[in-house]
Amino acid sequence: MVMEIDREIKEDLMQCWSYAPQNERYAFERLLNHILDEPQSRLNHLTIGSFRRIINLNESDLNNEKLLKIALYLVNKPQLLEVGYELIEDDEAWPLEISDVTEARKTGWLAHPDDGHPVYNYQERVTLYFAQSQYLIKLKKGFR
Amino acid sequence: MSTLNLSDIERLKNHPDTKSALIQYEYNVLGLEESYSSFVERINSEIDNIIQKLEAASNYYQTACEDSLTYYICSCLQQRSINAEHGSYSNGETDLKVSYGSYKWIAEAKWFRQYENAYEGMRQLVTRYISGRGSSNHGAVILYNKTSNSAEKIKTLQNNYSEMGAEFKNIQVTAVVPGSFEFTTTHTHSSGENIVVRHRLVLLHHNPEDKSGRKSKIDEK
Repeated sequence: MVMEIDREIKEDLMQCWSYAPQNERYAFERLLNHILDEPQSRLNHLTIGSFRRIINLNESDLNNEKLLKIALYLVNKPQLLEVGYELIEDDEAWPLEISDVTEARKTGWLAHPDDGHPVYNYQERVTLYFAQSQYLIKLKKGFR
Repeated sequence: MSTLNLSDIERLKNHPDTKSALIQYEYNVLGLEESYSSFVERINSEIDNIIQKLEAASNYYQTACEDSLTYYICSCLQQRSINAEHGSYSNGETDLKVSYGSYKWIAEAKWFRQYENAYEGMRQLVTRYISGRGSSNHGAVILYNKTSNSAEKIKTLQNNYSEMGAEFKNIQVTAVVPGSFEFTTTHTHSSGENIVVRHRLVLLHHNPEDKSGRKSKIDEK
């Protein structure tokens, strides 16, 4: 049953990438297999750097923009991944809520999660990462 | 770029590979919506990029059916996180429907064998699929053309449309980009609203005269 569901999800999603260039199709399949097969504990903080290690392709084989396009597809369409934000300050990472980032986009300033003071040059200091989505967690719990 | 910050994201919103995926993400998660005109401009630009790839590999599509060509365009849009559907219902089975929140953009695709194919595509699009609402009053007729006289065909099509006011009320050819094999028309829809239709040729003519080209044509057959 578990294998059957995995196979159906993969086939369905791979169909959309059937016309993609070979390197993109390969990278998509590697990422999809990884997030479906890896334990939850290893899917909590994924970056473009982690994706590149997973797909094992150089930038000359697949550039970062195309890699990001694939990762965002997994966020937007099947919603297997979601995006998180954190403020990086002196090697310390402060987790941010989506609403903090939305508010900063609207007002042009970000309140520090610790003391509420405006964060100088926040656009350079807030980084984005990917993580398994609640949907993926449910999918794995339900079918495994 | 092993990690991405918000400045990187802003920059990547102008990159052709990531633009639509980021805009769709911002809509889904951050609730930030682009205007209908920006949406239409973005979809037209994405379609152009995909069509250029199709045209660059025209030798592979000589025997392709209309549906498989449109499916190719649809898949490429989906890979960019765009909500594109092939064959979904909107008062009939649409060839290509793109949605973004309440916004819609619909295209009808035809093999351009005779001018009537183009007019029939236009009729289907504007009398059946496009509602005329402000957030869905743009669409396209995509014409796959295998013959060598594309420039002449697009010019004739423009001229003919500008004289079809009896069928398409107040029709005007509003935008012609020389050498681009496309033009835009506006006319008054039955709803009373203005409809904007982009007519876009896809150049699939393939007739190589060199030795290896002739051989590969025979092999393809």
